[in-house]
Amino acid sequence: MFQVVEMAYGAIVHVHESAIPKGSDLRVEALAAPSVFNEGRIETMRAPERRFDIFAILTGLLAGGIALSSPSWAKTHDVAMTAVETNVVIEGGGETYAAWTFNGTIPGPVVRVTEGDTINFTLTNPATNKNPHAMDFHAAEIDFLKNYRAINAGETISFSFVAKKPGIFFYHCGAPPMIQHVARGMFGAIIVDPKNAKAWPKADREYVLVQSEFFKNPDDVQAMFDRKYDNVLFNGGIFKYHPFVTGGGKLDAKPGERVRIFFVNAGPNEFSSFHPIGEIWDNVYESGNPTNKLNGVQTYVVGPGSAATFDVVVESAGAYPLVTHSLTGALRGAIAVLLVGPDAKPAPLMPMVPWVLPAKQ
Amino acid sequence: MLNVILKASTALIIVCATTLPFHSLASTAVPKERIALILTGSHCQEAQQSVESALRQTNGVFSVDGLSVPGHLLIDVEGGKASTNEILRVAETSINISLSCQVEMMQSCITTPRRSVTDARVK
Repeated sequence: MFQVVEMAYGAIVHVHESAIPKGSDLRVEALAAPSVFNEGRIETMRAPERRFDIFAILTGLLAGGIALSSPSWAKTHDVAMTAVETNVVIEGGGETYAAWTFNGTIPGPVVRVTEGDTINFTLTNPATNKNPHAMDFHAAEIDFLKNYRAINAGETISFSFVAKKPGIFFYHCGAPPMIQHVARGMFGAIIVDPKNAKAWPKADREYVLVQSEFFKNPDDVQAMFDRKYDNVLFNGGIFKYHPFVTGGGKLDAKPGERVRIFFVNAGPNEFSSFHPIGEIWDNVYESGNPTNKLNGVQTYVVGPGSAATFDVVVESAGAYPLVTHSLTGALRGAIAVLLVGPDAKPAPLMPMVPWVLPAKQ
Repeated sequence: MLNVILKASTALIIVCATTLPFHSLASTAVPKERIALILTGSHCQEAQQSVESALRQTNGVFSVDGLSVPGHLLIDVEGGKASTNEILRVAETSINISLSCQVEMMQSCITTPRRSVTDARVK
């Protein structure tokens, strides 16, 4: 357990209680950086039966460059993304789409941190772009006005946050019209692993799946408002993981493995009814938080802008399509076949992103 | 060092982005259709190699994948050059008559409607 010490100016220090001798005062002395520590004033808190001066710990934290708002064991991650307006392959026949992306792919890169970690984020909107862009992390609890504002081409914005809650979270561009920026591909997933790895069963294999709607005319914002989508995508592709469709691949697993799907619904509008054909979800974790646990679930609805983590243990070799059971969505592209066999090889979190089509044999 | 790599990657992405033409949907490859066949029978492992070989020699066949989905053949054909029936016929006739192996079109609940991306729009 951690003792939380809140300083006068609002900074928070987490100190593991094992580091605090019994019968001591918990004394926080802010000496190292007056500008940060509100003119060096001393704050003292009383911890029952404990007496402890943490000056040395604070000095060590500062010397190590660790953010004060993070637990001492937490890490700091510098995450930089670039808004890229580019063409991406959208289906297995090689059709491309004038997308707006983070780092050139749909979805953008998966950000993965551990609960309590600090993310120092920077978004660059290159001068060569034609549109303003922004970033909204659903894993963050920070001021939207200051941090999620849109920046014009040629500008950069930076902000920091602590990933306080574990789970799988959506991130997306929030520049107006947000519906278009999301529809054109500016979204992705951030995984915040629980600090206690034993909070849930260890997964043998993990995938990230992001569902979204595809509008063939990227400039028809009215069609986006009217929900007149053409296709539904998993990880930015029409039938990307459907081996019976041109250019389609698959997701692999071995019999008996616990396969964990970090699922995000980017929308912008439609709900997903996520179902494993031929299987039952062993566990579903709402928002990917291990404490939000369900057992034995056939389908689970994930709304636009939401996410959940799905565990399935497949005992027998074979094919198990993962679909949205909203069938107009499944049969327009949202089918990912989990192919289970003894020879399954390790795979990245988001296979086939970007979608590179094979050359002729 | 990391910063240098990051900056170089960013620059590369920007260069790529700015040199690509912008359009909504554009074909960058020959239109293809995937035909999925299922092989059932006790001798299909023996028969599969000759089936794949025959299919690869068929006009219009872009690729034949007999590994990705066990017991199945995934055949990509160039649009309009080889019909589904023709592919099925080639596969059937390539199997030695003494072997027990039946070839059929793969159909299931995840069989997708045969239509292009561009005519799938919700009306």
